[in-house]
Amino acid sequence: MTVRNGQLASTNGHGTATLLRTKPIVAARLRTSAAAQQRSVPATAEESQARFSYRWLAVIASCSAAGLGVLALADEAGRRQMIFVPTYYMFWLGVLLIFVPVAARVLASDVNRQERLTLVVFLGLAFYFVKVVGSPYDFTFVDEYVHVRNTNALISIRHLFTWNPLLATAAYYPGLGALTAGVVELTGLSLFTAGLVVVGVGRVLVCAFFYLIFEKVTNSGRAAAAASLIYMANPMFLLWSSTFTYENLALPLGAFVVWWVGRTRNRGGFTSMAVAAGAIAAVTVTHHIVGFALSLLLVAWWSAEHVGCRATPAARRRLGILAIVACCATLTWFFLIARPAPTYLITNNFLPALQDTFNVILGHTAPRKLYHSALAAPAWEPLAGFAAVLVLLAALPPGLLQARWSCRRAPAAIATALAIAFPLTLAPRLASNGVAISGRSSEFVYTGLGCVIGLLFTAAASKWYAWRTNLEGERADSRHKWRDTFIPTAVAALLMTVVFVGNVTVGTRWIERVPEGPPRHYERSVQPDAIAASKWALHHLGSNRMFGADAIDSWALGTYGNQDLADARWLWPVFFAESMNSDVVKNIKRLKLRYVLVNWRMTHAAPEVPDYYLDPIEPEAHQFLHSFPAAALEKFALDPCTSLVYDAGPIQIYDVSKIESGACQ
Amino acid sequence: MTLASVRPTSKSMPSFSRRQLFFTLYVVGIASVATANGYLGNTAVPLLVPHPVQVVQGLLMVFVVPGLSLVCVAFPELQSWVERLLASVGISIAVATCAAVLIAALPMGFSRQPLEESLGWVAVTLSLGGLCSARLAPAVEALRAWAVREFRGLARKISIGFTDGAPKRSNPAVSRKHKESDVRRSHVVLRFSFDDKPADPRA
Repeated sequence: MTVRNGQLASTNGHGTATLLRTKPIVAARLRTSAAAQQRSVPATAEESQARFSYRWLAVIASCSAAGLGVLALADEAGRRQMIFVPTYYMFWLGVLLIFVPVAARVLASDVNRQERLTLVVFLGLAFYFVKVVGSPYDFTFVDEYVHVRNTNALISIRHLFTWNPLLATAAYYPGLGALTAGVVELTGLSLFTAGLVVVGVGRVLVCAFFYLIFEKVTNSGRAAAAASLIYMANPMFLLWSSTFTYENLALPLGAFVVWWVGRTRNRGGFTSMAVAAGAIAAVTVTHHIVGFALSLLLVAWWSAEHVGCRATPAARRRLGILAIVACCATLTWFFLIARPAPTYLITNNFLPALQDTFNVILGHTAPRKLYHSALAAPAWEPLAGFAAVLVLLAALPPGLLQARWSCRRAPAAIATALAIAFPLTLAPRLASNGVAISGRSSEFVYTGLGCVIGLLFTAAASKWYAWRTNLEGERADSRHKWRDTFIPTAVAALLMTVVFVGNVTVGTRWIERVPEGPPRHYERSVQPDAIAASKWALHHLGSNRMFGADAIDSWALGTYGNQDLADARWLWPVFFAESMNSDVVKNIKRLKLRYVLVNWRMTHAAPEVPDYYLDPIEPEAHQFLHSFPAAALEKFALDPCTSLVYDAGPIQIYDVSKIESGACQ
Repeated sequence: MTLASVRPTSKSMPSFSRRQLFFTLYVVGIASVATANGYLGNTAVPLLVPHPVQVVQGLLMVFVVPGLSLVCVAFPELQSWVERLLASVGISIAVATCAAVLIAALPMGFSRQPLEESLGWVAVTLSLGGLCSARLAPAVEALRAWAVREFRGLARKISIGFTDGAPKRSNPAVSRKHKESDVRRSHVVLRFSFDDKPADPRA
């Protein structure tokens, strides 16, 4: 580094010399403290000199538009059951047309900072539209119905914590419902459109804030881009993270809190603290796990800085106060206000998952066979899934070695700790209930994993370039330079594509990636005739009547019909019995069952997706060797104590209130 | 991206643009409050808002305006428009979520009017505060400059009076200390900024 006439000759990671105009020392000294407070990420000379390439952006946008077009065609063909259209291959072609061009461009060395950010957000939005073109008319994912019911209740009843039979806990985390209801009320849009807007804005925020956070953690735009790609390659990101669910609003808010605290903690003043506290409150009332994750992260950040002593005491104190606020708010809401949440989260989800995982590790139970079901995936998909895990596990040790230089900074230390947790989150995948841990944790673990792999990528690319230039001397020819920078970029893009493809096969069953057409057997998604029956029930029978129905149609009844749903643990014997015997009558009285919705498609053929009709503990659950016995449903039609009140094709509703009340024996 | 470009004390935009922005936010906030009431001012004529206008206004009020008002008033150091926009949307969503949950928790229950009014009043209050501060800023700056000038003049007079006209001899130990301090500080600056890279932790 040489100084001449107020100019500073600097070299970037690739050895390219550049001149930076400097300020006099005195002026720089005066700014030192402020600059240390809000020092932005140092750019390489190539990044500083690079312009925003609209040409590349146009090319990438065209590729993404083509990919979305292919996906729209595949989805429409799936809906119309056009079996001659190769929808499976069209899906992969579509998503690869979206992912690969962005990955290839965003990992290059000579990309403007804003262009990287734009491309990362663009990729996130394009993936969001993959879900939107798959469900363009209404919400179709089962978790979405829970929050549609919440939002509807908030709009109609106007108060919090109304009973939600689809998921009682969700009613106690009303953030998403309240915000969507606000958009519906203020704009006059439909709930579906408002929900798409809310989740879409959340998607933009989560991509942008995570990119900015990764940039701070890795101190490099290129590494941040790699980290963002790894994060977007997590198994849940493509479809599940695009759904209208509370985690997909809480996560952007949590990312905003982290970015905001990192940006303003040295600033001082009450306003920035108030903004952070308000955003923490919004996270608290929106989602339990994100609330806990945010609290843990703030505590870990404060602890890391306490040990490392990198921040000023005032900044550390402010961070500590925010960590205390987050912990108190989350725990108070979880244990005192959201009363069903501890049972749902701890007793029903985490403890069984942990128990199953330990049983598998200790050899008490056999591990789950991955990719093994009655409807086997194409042979290459398990290989892709294993390849993705192998790539990540192979990159992790050198990435951790590289990251140890950054561990003196608290954010990098936390990212490293998260990355170390990645192998641990793989173990629950082998347990039958392990998805409660492995699925939920992936969105958090992949942030740290992305940072570590991003650091490894930039270091490897720099070393590669240095090795090439040392080997053959400094080259003036730009073609050689292009080749030397292209090779690491191409290799990294290829590996990330492998990770992305493998994780998509892990996250979504192959048959569920394209929408279902008119079913000839028991469906895997809510059908229009069930929605019509539910709306009829709401208008003619009233709301909050106790209904018994199969698992899929229950979502329609709970959402569109606003009905209460019988407990499936006692309902499945009612459905499976072949006559109206005393046990059935006893269960109907116990459940206070007034109506039964019967779906005759269950009796036509064994369903495509091996799951269950009513409850996971019913006979032949997750196997579906036979179709549902027709005699079991005929008993409702033949019994003199029941009456048919709705009949539309395969959907019928029977009134069993006389049995329930004891008026008819 | 470089240290030389970081100017935390400078204003993010000219005061004229700031005033324009605050005035726009004020108008949007007032429009939101008026729409929430259904009437324009004190007139008895109902306010009929076309649906496209309602959509745009509603989306702005939920996703942009409250946060942008706060960012422009309280955080002028956010220089990049990307950061400003992202911070605005993040703050707006947090504010709208908290406001909607809070209103739904109150006995009156959730409805359009209190939500739109509360978001509108947030925007109006903050933009009015911003307008006042932007208008007063030149006067405050002039007052501060006058005070500093007067203080320095007074200090010089006192100093001349104290040494009886002769310039005060500087302490050689103190000046040596200052020089060392300068050298040390310049090392700090050069270490982490001028080479445009993060400091090498092994150094």
